[in-house]
Amino acid sequence: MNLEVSVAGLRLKNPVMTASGTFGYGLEYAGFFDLSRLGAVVVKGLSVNPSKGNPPPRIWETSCGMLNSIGLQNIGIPAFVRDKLPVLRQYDTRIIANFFGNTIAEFVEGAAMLNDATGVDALELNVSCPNKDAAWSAFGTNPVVLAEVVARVRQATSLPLIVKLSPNVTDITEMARVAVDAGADALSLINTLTGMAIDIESIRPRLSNIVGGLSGPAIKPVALRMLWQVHKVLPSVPLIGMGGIMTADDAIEFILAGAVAVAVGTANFVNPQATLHVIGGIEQYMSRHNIADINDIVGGVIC
Amino acid sequence: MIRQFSAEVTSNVRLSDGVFMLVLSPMSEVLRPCAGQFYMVGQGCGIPGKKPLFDPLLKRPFSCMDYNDGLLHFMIKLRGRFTAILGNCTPGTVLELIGPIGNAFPAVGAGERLIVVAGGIGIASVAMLLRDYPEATLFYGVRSANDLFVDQLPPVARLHVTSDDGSAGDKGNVLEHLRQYIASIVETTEGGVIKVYACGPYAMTEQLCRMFASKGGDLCKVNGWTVEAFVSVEERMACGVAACLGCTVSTVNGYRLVCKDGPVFSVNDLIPVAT
Ligand SMILES: Cc1cc2nc3c(=O)[nH]c(=O)nc-3n(C[C@H](O)[C@H](O)[C@H](O)COP(=O)(O)OP(=O)(O)OC[C@H]3O[C@@H](n4cnc5c(N)ncnc54)[C@H](O)[C@@H]3O)c2cc1C
Ligand SMILES: Cc1cc2nc3c(=O)[nH]c(=O)nc-3n(C[C@H](O)[C@H](O)[C@H](O)COP(=O)(O)O)c2cc1C
Ligand code: FES
Repeated sequence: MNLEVSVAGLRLKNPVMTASGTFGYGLEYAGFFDLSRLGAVVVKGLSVNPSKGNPPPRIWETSCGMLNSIGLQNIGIPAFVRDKLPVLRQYDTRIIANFFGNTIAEFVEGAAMLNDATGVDALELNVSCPNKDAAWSAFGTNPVVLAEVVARVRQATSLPLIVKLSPNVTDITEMARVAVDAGADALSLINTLTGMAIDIESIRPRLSNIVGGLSGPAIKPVALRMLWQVHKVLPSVPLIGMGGIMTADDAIEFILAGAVAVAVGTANFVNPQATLHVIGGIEQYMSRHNIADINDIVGGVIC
Repeated sequence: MIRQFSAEVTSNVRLSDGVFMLVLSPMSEVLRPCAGQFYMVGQGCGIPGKKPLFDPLLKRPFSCMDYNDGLLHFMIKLRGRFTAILGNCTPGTVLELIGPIGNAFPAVGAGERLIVVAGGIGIASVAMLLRDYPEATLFYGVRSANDLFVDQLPPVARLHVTSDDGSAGDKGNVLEHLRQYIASIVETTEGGVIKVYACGPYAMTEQLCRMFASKGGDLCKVNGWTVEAFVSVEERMACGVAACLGCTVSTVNGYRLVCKDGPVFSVNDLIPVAT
């Protein structure tokens, strides 16, 4: 049985990775299972300088989901490269660095720093955090700005470049096309959907940032639909599917819709070993359906 | 090290309309929790053969109230959806836990006096201290006699109960009684160190900071006595393992995570937000 897949030239031992921001820098979960079992570890969104994120409260649980307004808190690329990467590299898995900047120049600087770090296998460009201000959101929602940031980052790195798309747009296929035309090797989708919750007793928002990103099972149908739409118009572009994947069944839905790999996010909080259950369940599905190679079912949904 | 494990409900007893005691038997080897540490408790999605349940989605933090004979005791107040589910769990139900989590209360040095302070259900977070330090004094404040669960505690050397309505112990605010008690100690005995370890509603944490913070606290240094106060604080959590960065509190050193740097903080570090 073959579970190995290739994303933009990067070979993964299986199609299951962790979604950025839901698995820390990887090491937080190293005590729960052997990280070498994973296809890839995608780390928390990094920036050139450390960032302290938004004031608390940052979390609110919703029906079958959660809102977060972490605000891209991170230790900064230099500290990641110095303190985390050498330990993470000991594991036999791929390391994908999710990163962002506050300006195009910062995106470029971050890409260059990560490009030069030993042990980073690919970059995931985050243009789609719903907790930043409207001006920042343009990176992920304005096609002209998106094209520019992707093109500039493309010049700064020779590593495989994954662009993570925002679902908070009218037409996700347009953004996907723009990112690929500007040099993205692969796309990951979706990031969280912008949402809100209000405490009706105190008549105040539940999150200090007022709005936050919705994740978890609640967003899966939307994520699946968007992934399928993008796969239809860009069938040769490797897609990493995410959004509400809790079980292997969920992951297989994404693969059938066109994802060559999947990322498990909020499920890690619910069960630190969620990724292992997803990998195991994919294997069981394959043997149950006599599938020799996982790649054979990518995009295999019959519509 | 933090572990993930399944545990079976061995008993679940209502202590009052709003509070119950849940006793769990871990199904694999677990580490002994320290006073102040807590567990993330969930419905169990990682249990083989069990259908995963995703609503409520996230695990919830609960302090370990007691650990003996290999059983974990949790005293839980009904709040919302998940505590309602836990309150109805029958013996034999299997739950999933992560823990023990957090930094625990610091050790009390020889010659130091320990005063444990609990407000309402906050007793659950400090009760293990009473086992570790049988000489400790407990100040236990409740709304009314219905919220008082002294019989669930290890033996206490000196117990001061206060209630808002006067139905149990002295009427009034527990911290006002604590203030008088400390005043009487510092007047009548030679100096030393008093440790105050507390858990209660947010307003209590705020007041403790005002009383005992080395900057601005009116009771932190008196008559050759030093009072060092530590409180266990609450924040909403998703992961419990420092991965989501959701459980931040503001401290003088910037944002800190309740699940990793806490839940116990010195009142000198906390920056209370006005409520
Ligand atoms: C370190 C720590 C230890 C705790 N120990 C105990 C204990 O021993 N006994 C006890 O009764 N309670 C304890 N709590 C509070 C307990 O976690 C909440 O009462 C519980 O999460 C409420 O869940 P719910 O689904 O019933 O309520 P809901 O209101 O439906 O919960 C909605 C969301 O808010 C979160 N939430 C609500 N209230 C709190 C709170 N006070 N603190 C943190 N998150 C909250 C929930 O986890 C959930 O994500 C502790 C909290 C923390 C942080
Ligand atoms: C607490 C939290 C933090 C996140 N941080 C990041 C981040 O730093 N960078 C990023 O690209 N996506 C981030 N995300 C989005 C996830 O990677 C993922 O795209 C999204 O949560 C959908 O997947 P899920 O429903 O499986 O969680 C975060 C999500 C959550 C819940
Ligand atoms: S609960 Fe996730 S970081 Fe503390």
